[in-house]
Amino acid sequence: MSNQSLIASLSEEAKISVCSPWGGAMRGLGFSVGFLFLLGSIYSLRPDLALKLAQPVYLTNLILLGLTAIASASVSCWIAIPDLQSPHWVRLLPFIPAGLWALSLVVTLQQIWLNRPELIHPHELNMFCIKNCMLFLLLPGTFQFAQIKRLAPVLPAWSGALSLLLATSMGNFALMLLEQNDGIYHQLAWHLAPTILFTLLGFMVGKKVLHW
Amino acid sequence: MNTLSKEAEESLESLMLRAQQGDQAAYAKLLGQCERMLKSMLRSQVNNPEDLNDLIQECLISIHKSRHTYQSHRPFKPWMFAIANFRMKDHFRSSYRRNNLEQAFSANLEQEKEDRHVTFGEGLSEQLKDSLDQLPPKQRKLVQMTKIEGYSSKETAKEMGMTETAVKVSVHRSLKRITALLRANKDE
Repeated sequence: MSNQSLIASLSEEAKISVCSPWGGAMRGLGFSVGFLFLLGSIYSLRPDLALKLAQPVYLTNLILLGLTAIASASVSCWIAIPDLQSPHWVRLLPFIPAGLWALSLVVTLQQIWLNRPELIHPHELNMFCIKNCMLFLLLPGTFQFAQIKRLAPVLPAWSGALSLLLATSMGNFALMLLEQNDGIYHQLAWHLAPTILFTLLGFMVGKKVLHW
Repeated sequence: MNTLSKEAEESLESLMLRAQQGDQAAYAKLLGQCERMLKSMLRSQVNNPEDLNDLIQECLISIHKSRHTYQSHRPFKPWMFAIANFRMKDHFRSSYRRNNLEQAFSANLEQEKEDRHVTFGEGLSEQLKDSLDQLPPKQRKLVQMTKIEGYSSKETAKEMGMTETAVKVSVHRSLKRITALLRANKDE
């Protein structure tokens, strides 16, 4: 087929409705919030929530996770729109609040180790959290992948990683409001480690699934 | 003023905007301009004219498939070249993979040739040759046809005027004898 005949056949289907990246981001975030709100209505909020919200570290972590979710939703859709003018560092933006949250957990662990080692209880690692991870992650992650797939991601691996970072950060945000386990081992093993693992998984899966 | 407004009207951005609204002529014109820009961009990267044309067509199809992501307030060229870049990387990745496969295939072929050479070619061991020479002429011919020259039992039978079963039996006996001779030589 010559280029001219290809152009002629393509131009017959010119009309299309424009898709905004912000629309995709809002839908992704909205779906995650809605889904977690639904889960929140099934599980009840932790009874000591008012007390916890008064603690600066808890509140900071909550804000950092919220920021990670907003940034991941926005940036994953932003980089799914082809544009050579987009700065390269944009894709790293969501990792700033996520990194600060991880740092806060590590600092907390160090503080406990140094000052109050009696607060560390290895038995707080509960294997049932695998179920929670899957429950809080799968649907929002899949939905965000579907949103990205509708656009034209030229960095599919990064878009995939940020989609799952959105899902994990929203899941962590919700679990902080619902779950009454603040043990540092639990936080590291069932909040931080899945965030890292699923972000890496999103990177690998996105490379294949979001390629167009 | 007139020229200015005409230029603005014909800019890539406005052509794309009109295309998104369903103007087929504007879209054809836009794709034509894209083709020219892509050709000049990709010519320096791809030497083979056929590959170049394939890549241009892939880019045009990708532009078509992702035209819903173009935002009218953004410049057109960075959008288009981002897609072209994406496709170009894809193209290089797949051709690199293809080249690797071809290299691996030709290396395999060379190895196979060498293996064959060792078994049946000039390097055919003297002992094997001697053992073959010790067979009666008819049996030697049968072994040569079926095991060296690659004829099937059916073809050999037809050529030698024998039944297929007789060929198989004879070849089997000959191979047995060759093995025995080789063993005897080895023991000596």
